[in-house]
Amino acid sequence: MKSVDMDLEFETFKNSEEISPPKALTDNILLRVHKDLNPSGFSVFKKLAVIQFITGFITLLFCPQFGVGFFNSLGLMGLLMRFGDTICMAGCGAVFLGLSAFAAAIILRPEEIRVIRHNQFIQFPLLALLAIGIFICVGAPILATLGVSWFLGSVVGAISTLRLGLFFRSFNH
Amino acid sequence: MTLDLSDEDLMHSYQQGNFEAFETLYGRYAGRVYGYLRKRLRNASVDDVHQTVFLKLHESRFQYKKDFKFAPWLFVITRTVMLDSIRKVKNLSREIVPESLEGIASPPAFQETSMKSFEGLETLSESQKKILEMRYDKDMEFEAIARELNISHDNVRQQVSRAIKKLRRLVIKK
Repeated sequence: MKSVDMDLEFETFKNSEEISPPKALTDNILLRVHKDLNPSGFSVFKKLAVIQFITGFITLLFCPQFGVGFFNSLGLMGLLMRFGDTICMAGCGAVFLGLSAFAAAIILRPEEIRVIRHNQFIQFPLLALLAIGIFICVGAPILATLGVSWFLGSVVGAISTLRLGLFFRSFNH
Repeated sequence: MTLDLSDEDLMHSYQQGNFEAFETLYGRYAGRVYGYLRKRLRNASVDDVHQTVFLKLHESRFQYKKDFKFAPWLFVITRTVMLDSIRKVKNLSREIVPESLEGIASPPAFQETSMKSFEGLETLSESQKKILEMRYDKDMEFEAIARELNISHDNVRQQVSRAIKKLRRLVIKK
């Protein structure tokens, strides 16, 4: 279509008589958009878990968790060990969950991030417990005190890096 | 609060997940979009196209840049959706009345935008109607229809062919 025709058509659009659509149609559209803009905590958690699965896999390449890793080297864990066991565990947890929180902040839609932020003290601890459960299943020797350090480090790390991710994201918008 | 904002600011707020912003935009433009579609299309499918326009707007909201004016952007979406609907029905119309039969029978009107508007559709079986809708309204491949209905590919082809022949016979009788 020529641009002149397009301009004329746009004028027709602009000057169209306003006719109210049927109420049922309006309600249906608004309901669908409302539902999409307000995702449930569970659906967002599922996405977060998938992101965690992928980033967790990547983390294990350079930072073993509870002795579980893909290579024999200590990687980042070796560096963190210099500060003692507790700090090392907290740091490893922060890296493990932090990377997924950062990725989530970049990848997910704003409304999904809003849900995560709203439930951050539920979603991240749940994710950390899920990860600990998986490590136990693959035979990781987890001591209670070090497990608690890892858990706290991962939750604090995730909450902090989520904010960092949002900060980076704000530059792109 | 959102009522005072410009369309462009509302769109930005909507991109951040604010439903109220969408609701305000919808309130501002729904009447105009519906009025335009009523002017350009002449059947009951206006409702379907109107809904698709706003759902398409929702799907493409992140492609909107704040430097654009909102109204022309919405117009492009409206026009694209409208033409797309017309194209789909035109495809079915061509199947029913191929060039070789033109002159004997007239194809369904160009501006019809929904399969539901075809006369004689009620004479088809429920499964034939469903398959035609999947094929021409939803643009699905034979393979996808077969998968979804859990029937063979050949069965789908056969049912589409029979349904079209039936509709063609009705058009020619007229």
